[in-house]
Formats: sequence, structure tokens, C-alpha cells
Amino acid sequence: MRDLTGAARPAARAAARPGRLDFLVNRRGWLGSIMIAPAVVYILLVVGVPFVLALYYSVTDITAGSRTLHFVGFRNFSAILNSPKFMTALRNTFVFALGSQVLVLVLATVLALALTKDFRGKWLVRLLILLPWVAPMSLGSIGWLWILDSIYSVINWTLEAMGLIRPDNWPMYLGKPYLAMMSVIGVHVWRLLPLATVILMAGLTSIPQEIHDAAQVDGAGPWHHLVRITLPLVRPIMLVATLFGLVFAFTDMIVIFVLTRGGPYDTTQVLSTLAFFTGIQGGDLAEGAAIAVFLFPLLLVVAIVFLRIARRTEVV
Amino acid sequence: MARPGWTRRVAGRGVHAGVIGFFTLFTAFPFYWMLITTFKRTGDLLKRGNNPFIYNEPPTLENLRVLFQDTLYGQWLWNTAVVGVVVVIITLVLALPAGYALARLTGRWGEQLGIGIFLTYLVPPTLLFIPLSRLIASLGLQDSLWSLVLVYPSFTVPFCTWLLMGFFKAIPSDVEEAALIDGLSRLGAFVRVVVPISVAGILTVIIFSFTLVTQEFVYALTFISTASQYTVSVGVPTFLVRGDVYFWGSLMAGCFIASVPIAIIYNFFVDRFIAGFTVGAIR
Amino acid sequence: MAGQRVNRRQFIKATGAGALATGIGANIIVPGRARAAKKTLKILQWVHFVPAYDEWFNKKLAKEWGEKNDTEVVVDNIGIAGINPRATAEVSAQKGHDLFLFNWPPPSYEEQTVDMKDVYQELERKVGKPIDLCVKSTYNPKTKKYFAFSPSFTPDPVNYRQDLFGQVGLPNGPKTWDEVRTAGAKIKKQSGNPVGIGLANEIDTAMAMRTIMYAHGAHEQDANGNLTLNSKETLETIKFVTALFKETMTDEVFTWDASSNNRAMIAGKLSLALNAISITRTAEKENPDISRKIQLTKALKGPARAIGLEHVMQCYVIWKFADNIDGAKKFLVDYTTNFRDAFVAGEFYDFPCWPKTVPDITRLISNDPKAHPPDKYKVLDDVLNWATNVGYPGYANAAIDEIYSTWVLNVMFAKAASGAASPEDALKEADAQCRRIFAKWKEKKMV
Repeated sequence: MRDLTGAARPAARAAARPGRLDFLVNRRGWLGSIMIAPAVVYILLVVGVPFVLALYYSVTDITAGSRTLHFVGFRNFSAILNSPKFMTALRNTFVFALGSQVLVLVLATVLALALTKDFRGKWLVRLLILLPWVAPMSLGSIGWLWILDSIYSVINWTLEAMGLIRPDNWPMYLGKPYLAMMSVIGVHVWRLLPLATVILMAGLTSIPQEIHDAAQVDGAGPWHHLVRITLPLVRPIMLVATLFGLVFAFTDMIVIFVLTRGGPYDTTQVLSTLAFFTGIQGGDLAEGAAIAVFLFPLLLVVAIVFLRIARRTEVV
Repeated sequence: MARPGWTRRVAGRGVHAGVIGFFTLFTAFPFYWMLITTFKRTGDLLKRGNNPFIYNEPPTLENLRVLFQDTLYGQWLWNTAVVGVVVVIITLVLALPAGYALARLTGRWGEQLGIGIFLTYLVPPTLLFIPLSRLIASLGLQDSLWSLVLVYPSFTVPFCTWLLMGFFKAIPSDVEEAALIDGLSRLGAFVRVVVPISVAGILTVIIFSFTLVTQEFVYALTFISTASQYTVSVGVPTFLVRGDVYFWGSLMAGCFIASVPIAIIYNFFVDRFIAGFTVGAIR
Repeated sequence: MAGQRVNRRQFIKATGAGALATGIGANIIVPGRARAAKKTLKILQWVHFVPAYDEWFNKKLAKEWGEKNDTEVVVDNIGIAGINPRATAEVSAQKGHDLFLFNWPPPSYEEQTVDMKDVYQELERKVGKPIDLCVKSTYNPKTKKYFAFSPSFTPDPVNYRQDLFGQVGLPNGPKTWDEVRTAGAKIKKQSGNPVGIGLANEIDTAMAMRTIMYAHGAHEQDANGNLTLNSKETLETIKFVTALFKETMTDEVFTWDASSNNRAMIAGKLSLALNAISITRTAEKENPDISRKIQLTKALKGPARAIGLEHVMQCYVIWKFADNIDGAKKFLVDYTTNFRDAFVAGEFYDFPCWPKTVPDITRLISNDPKAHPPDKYKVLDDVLNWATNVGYPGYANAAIDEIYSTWVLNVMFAKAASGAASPEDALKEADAQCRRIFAKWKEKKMV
């Protein structure tokens, strides 16, 4: 289970046996290249080429409404770095992405642990927990817009009915900077929680029972058991879930786009929304591109590190 | 001496129920809310001071009527399903062999390539749609569902290839060796032996890809402008948010109806998906 | 053939014309299906405020015009959020619609659009001169080009609660911005109804803030396109808005989207709001009681002048790469010449940029059976004189557009009003951003 890179070796011997015909479907190198070619060609064409073009845009002066462009070097980047709006967005991006990811991880772990137990109504509970994952997010966000509305918020109505807040003092979920940030993080957590939970459940159930039994015999307490045994074993799969969620938080803008459009006064403006407003709505495509690709090197490094760790300590 | 154990068990059960209750409330409440809103009259919905949990005026089917008769909602559901299924098939066709090759046939450079393929997932779509629109126009696919079919695998294939690579690595290689000894070619072993026992992985890919397709917004927004070709995630907000007027009841119905059936289907599969996952890992 | 695959029940009423022709079967099987030899005209525009307008445009106007001109007219309706992304995509692809409607001036697309000079000339010959706002929104004085054509705009009048303002001695509503402040404060104290002028990242806020600025003599630019944001007047305006917020409003204005003030006004919460006539129209349908209480008033006076903004500016462009440029131009001329039909079909949302096309406009809006009272919209009879464009007194150029789209001024006012920054600091920060944006577009020689 641990040493998977070695898994191919016996198979290699088998394939190399003489006398077998049809080397194309048998020789590892050839067959490998053929099998992988369609995916690579597709990715190069549909992601690679456009991406290089987009990168190129970020060092030109292209606008949304033009096709003539000139190379301008890294001027767009130095321009955005001097813009306080960009710096605010950069900071918000990290708050948003890291905040939501930490929450997702903690909550998904708790929830996955709770769901590995058997209890009545588990099927229904799991269905209800899966729901946010399958909702078209543009509509799910509109649902939240309604729930967080300044006049008709059901949360506030309930709190008022319970006597916890006064009618003239309703919290404005999308109107106060910290509340707005918490709201968009909350909705983002809401949408990512089911997937993270399912992945973690798979990780948890993949731990062989013997390991748990052995820990029991050693007299490990429940907390110790969780922290020292269970969590380290699901770490690789957690890393993958985290990476996936991080990428989503950095690149996807729909939640913020629907709920706050960066407001109140830019306190929820993140790079993906700023890139959209600058490049597409504002027409400065080149600068929008520079904003959008700004984090790419960082994401690249994070992703490589995560994947390396995840693959090295393989569980599944 | 049995008492503390008993209390602890009850307490534990209480905590467990509390945790489950909290999370269910968090995830499902918006859907409960959508359901209630679906049948509310606009006047009831927008009257301040009304108890929002009950129907202060008799429930109505008007919002559903608007959704199904005044918009092409049924068509959009169908479109979403078609794009979803086709994209899933394309994803499997591309990612299955690629994942297998990366796991078994390519050695060290396969590892690097695997990570490389995964990394294309990091590219922000807010940017890609501009160059991609050129590609789509040159193929004559604008305003057609086919444009989405062409583009959507760009965000499903990388992650799924990488995911399947992990699955295939976990399959003991003696399974294929046995097949090779039985006279199958390596390709034959892959098709007849490896794929059938990778159901769990394939299911994951299906669920994962289909979900991403139903969620996608930016590409569908930019490549499609014909009402009959929209998917749910773009069609519903386009026609039910008019200027600055939201058709809340119909919007909520549109979200609820599109979500619940898929969640039910997934719930059946998630069981098998987790079980298969476990089997694969222990063997 | 294509139509048979579409379920009758699903057949959309609001936006049908294009839909029936392109059922899923047709496009899935034969992408880019072959058309008969006769010409086509492809129009892309937003989903209108008023569903009936789309119905009229798509089913009646487009069809009849098509028959008369031996052209198949295809109308696609998209959401307002999709307009800029879609335009960017069409330019990048060099393929798309013949007529493309922006709901705001699209100066940054100038390079790719056909000069509309001849359309303007033709119409001037037929129906006389357009209003200034129309030219200011579609003409670039720097390049001397009409990059778009505007048949109409949506006014942005003041909505006020007659009953509440009556209680503080202003039964005909406020006439000046100072009255909004003093009367609004009184109303808030007496009945608890706040004024509702947004301070969020959304269109209504953007328009309202500019209205207040221009009324105070503060401007983003002068008539020649030079940045003039950093001025005594702007600072005064910021201070005024801050006071207005503190004395008459509540925190919720920071959370709003474009629909919030509609809802709050119709819910009976607000004493005053600025919006297109969607508030009153929605009230007429959903809540006749409140509809009787909400009245409209003309632009409010500030220290400098009484001025209002357009709310939505309908600007058609024809791409240089369009297949049917002549047909598109002809359609625009015909549509605008007969704008009276559109004016009625759109329930008076869209006012003409070419006044003579609706000669009986005063009579029409003075007697609307839907309105409470029927002459509610009569105050808009001289809106053509007091509505202006974003970027007044200059042209709506690309720099102004980016400042607008990235919500620079919204943020400036909101920061000051909330106390997150002093008026001076908020202005300084906004000014720095505007400087950068102006420098950028000047260098591109588009401003």
C-alpha cells in the first residue's frame, strides 16, 4: 500500500517477456504514450494554448474591445502593485481562501467522524448534507442572498422572535465589513463542506480496523486516538481536499459576485472579482489578466508541495 | 461502577446528535427555505412582519407556473443533463487511459506529467473564456451546447486523471499479471480487468465531473446567448432576475428542483463510492 | 423540424422568437445550421425590466420588420451580468451578433464598432436632433467617432413617500438635497422610516452618488475630459453624504444590491429612494396601497444645480465584423423612428433620446390607467432636460467607464459615510485611483 511506485515493476517483467506479439499494445513506453496522448493533446489545446494567450495578455495593453495589442513588459503588474485597491483585494483573498479552508477542514473532519457512526436516519441526514454540493451555485447564492436580506432575513426574524435582537438593531449581514466577510466565507464553506466531508469519510473508512484495534489494545484514549492515529492517516487525502478547496476559493467568484460584489467598500473584494470588474466590466483586459494570474506562481508552488506530500504518504 | 460509563454514553450520544443536527441545519436550511418560498405568494413573502415560516396567505402554484411556462426551465434541465452526461463520458474516455498510463506505464516522468496535468486545474476560468471564445467561434460552435461540451472537460479531465492515477496505483499489480499470463495484452488487461474493478474510482469521476458541470457559470454565460441552449445555472438567473426585480419564488423553485433529485441519486452512490474506496485501499 | 422537438409547454412566452427556431435538436445535430439564402439580422439585448417589452420586441417588431425587409430577425436575450463578458467574447472571436445592446455607454469597444455617424445623420433628417445625453454617451470627441447609437434611456427619478413627507410639511416631496436631509431626519425620528440611498457596490448607488455630486458642482472630469475629482466641491459632497447617512439612513444601505431599495420602498420601510420607475411599477402590481403613497419628483436641487442621471442607457453597437451591417443600421433607424411603440410597450421605462419620436409623450404619461394617480409619471415630462450622463459635463469615455465599473466612487462615499475613512482620506484614495485609470486610457489615446 505504501510503496506504490514499485508496483509497476513485476508487471514490467511480465510485459517484457519475449514471445508476446503486438508490441504496440504491450510495450510500456509505447502503450503509455498512446494512452496518455488524447488527454495531453486535449489539455494543451483547450487549456494550454488559451492560458499562454491569457498570460500574454497580462504583459500587453489589450482592452476588452480591441484586438490590437502591444507588448508592455511587466507594467501592468507594477501598476496593480501600486494600487491600494489591489492590495486590499489581495489581503481579502487570503482571508477568504484560508478562512474558508480552515473552517471546511475542521468542520468536515467533525462531520465525517460523526457520520462514520451508525445511527437511525443516517440516509436522510446524509442526503441533506449532500444538498449544497449539487445546487447550481449561482442559484444557491441567490438563496443565501434572500436569507441574508436586510429586510426579510429569516435569521434576523427568528432571532428577534426569540428576543435576542431588537427590530431597530438587526445585524446587516452583508453590510458590515466583518459580517460581510463572515457571510461570504460561510456560504463558501456551505458549498464546499459536503465534498470535503465525503472525501474525508472515504479516507476514514479506508483505515483498516486492525489499526484501530491495535490502538485500543495499547490503551489510547479517544482524543489521543484521533490526533495521533486517525488524523495522520487521513492527512494525505485531507491535503488533496484542501488543495481542491483552495483552488476553488482563489479562482471561483460566484459567491462574492452574487452576494456583495466586493462591498461594503471593498472589504470583500478578492482578486477574482477585481479581475472581473477591471478586465471585463471596466474594459482593461490586460490589467484584469494581470490581476487574475497574479497568484498563479504562488498557487503553483502550493499545489506542487501539497501533491508531493500527499503522494509520498499514500493511503488510498 | 456502571453508572459513569452509562452517563458518558448518553452524553456522547447527545453530543453526536447535536453535531449531526447542527450540520444538517446548516446545509439543508437554505433548501427548506427555498421549498417554503416556492409556494408563497409574492404579497405574503414581501409583507414586513409576516411570520416567514408559515403561509399567511394560501399557498400558490404561481411561481412554479412562471418557472415552467414563462421560462424554458424544462429545456434547461434537459440541456444541463445532456451536457453533464456527455462531458462525463468524454472525461472518462480521456482520463481513464491517461490515469492508467501515469500509474503503470510511464515511470518517473509519469509522476511529473501527472502533477503537470493536475496543475492546469489552477488556471482561473475568469480569464480563459476570452481566448476560448475564439476557438469556439472558429469551430462554429457559438450558441450551441456543443461549445460547453468542448470546454467543460478542461476542468474535469485534469483532476480526474490525477484522481484515477491514485486509484490505479492502489490496485495490486498481480491482478494484471494474472491477466497477462492468461494471454491478454496489456491493453486488454486494462480494458477487461482493471477498468471493471475500478468502479469506485469511475463513480467518483462521474459524480465529481457531473457536479462541476451543473455548477459552471462563466463559460455558459459567455458562450451561449440563445434561450433554448442555456443550462440551469445561467438560464434561471437570466430570466428570473429582471433588471432590479427578483422573482424569488420561481428562483428558489428553480434551485430546489435542480438540486434535490441529483442529491438523492448521489446519496445512493456515495455509499458504494465509500465502500468501494475502502475495499480498494485494504486489498 | 427544429420546433417539433421543443415541448409546447416549455415554449417561452417572454422571449420566444429565437427559442422555437433553435430547439436543442437542431443545434445539437447540426451546429451552425444552414439558413436559407435570405438575409439574417441577429440582435442581442438584455432581458428587459418589463417582460411585455420582450414579447413585443421579439414577436411583433422583429417579425414585422423581418417580413418587410426580407430578413430573418433573430433576437437573443441575456442577463445584464452577461453583457460585458459576452461582448468581450464576441470581439475576441470576431463573430457574433449584428446588433449588440449595451445598457451603458461602451466606450472601450470603440475600436471594434462601426461609426454610427450616418445613422445619426439619417435620423436627424427624419426626426430632428437627439438630446445632449444621447451624444455624450455614444460619441468620442477625441477620435471624432460615434462608437454606439442610443435610441433611449431610462430616467432615474426620486421616489418619495407622499404621506411621510406630508407629515413634515412637504406634501409635494423635497425639492432640494438639503430638504432630503432635514425632512428625512425628521421623518426618521418621527416614524422610523429612513431614507434609502444605497452606499454599496451596485448601479443604483453609482447613479445616486453621481447625482448628488453633480448637483453640488463636483465632477469626475471637466468638459474636455480632464480629471477634476479632487476638488472642494467633491469634498463638500462627501461631507454632505456622510451627514445624510448619519442623520437619515441606517446601516443596511451598505448591504444593498440593485433590487434592495425597490423591496425596501415597497415594503413601506423607506421614505425616499432613487431608482428607475421599477419601484412604482412593481408596487402597482403587487401592492396598490403603497403604490398610492409613493410619488415621483424631478431632480433635486443642490448648491450648483438640479440634475438627475440616466439609470440605464440603451446603446446599440454594430460590430465591424458583423455580417449584416446595413440591415442593422436600417433596423436602428426604423426602430428609433417608431420609438413611440417601444415607449408604450416598455411601460415608459425607456424615454426617447430623440424627443420628436414620441410627440405626445406628455399626454401619454399624464394619463396612465395603471398608475395611482393616473398622472403619477407626469413629472417626468421634462426629464429630457434634466437627465445627464455618467461623466457629466464631459463625455462617457473609457476612463469614466472603468471608474464606474470598479465602483471607485461608491467605495469613496461608503468609506466616508461609515467612518472607515475621513472624507479627506477617502477622496485622496479615490483620486489616486482615478488618476491611474485616466493616465492608462489617455495613453491608449482613447480619452
